[in-house]
Amino acid sequence: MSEQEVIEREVIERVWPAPIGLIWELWTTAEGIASWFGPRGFTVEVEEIDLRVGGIFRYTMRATEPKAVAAMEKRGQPASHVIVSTLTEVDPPNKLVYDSPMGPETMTTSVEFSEGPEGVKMVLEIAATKAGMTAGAAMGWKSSLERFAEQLA
Amino acid sequence: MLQALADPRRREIVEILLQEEQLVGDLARRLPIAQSGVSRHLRILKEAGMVESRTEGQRRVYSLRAEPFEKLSEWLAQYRRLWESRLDNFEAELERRTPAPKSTNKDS
Repeated sequence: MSEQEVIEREVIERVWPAPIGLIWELWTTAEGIASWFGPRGFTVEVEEIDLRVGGIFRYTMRATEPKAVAAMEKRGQPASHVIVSTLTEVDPPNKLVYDSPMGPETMTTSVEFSEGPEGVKMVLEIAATKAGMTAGAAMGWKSSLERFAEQLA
Repeated sequence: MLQALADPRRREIVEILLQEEQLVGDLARRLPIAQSGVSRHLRILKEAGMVESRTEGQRRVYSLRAEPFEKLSEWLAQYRRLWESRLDNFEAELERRTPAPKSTNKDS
């Protein structure tokens, strides 16, 4: 992970008034994940989740609704595909990080849970990473992107 | 596209082109490399779809193309939407699995 640097990232936060143990279970067991991981129109079947650093998280995502099937076709992708990720951080019930190869880039998904007065706060970060880019270069690239976007606006 | 940017010199060229379009000769003057080297980097960036050129009289002017820059952000934005949809499912599933809250909690 150390030589991978973030190029772009998105962060999503939510708060759930539920026990942290149940949340962790839904995020880290095959049955739990399958119950919610498929976005609208897709089902997910978890073949393997080996909950340790270096462990494999493998699932098949299948478009089931006609609309989802058509959307995948339009993008030139099969209706069903297998995604194999590698866990890089496992700290029950607070933190889970995994890397997924997505074409030439890597997607790093990091989720953290912390208990607070209103419930469990989830912070999810999805980041496009590229091995071999130095931190400075990635930062420069990011700021360049921002400036370029401003110029287009 | 990211492959094309793996080279620090090419990132430098992109940085310069971010400010304004450039002639090859002007780029070569701003960088500690020969014009042939600049041309080679520009060719790679052009093949990656990141820069385009036009001819002005006898000279060739290079500028950045907008599309690939938008694609990278769009790629991640797509994943954000996928996750938003997933997390909505997650919330529904969580509600199914937690004891129903007291009726005073209902506001809908």
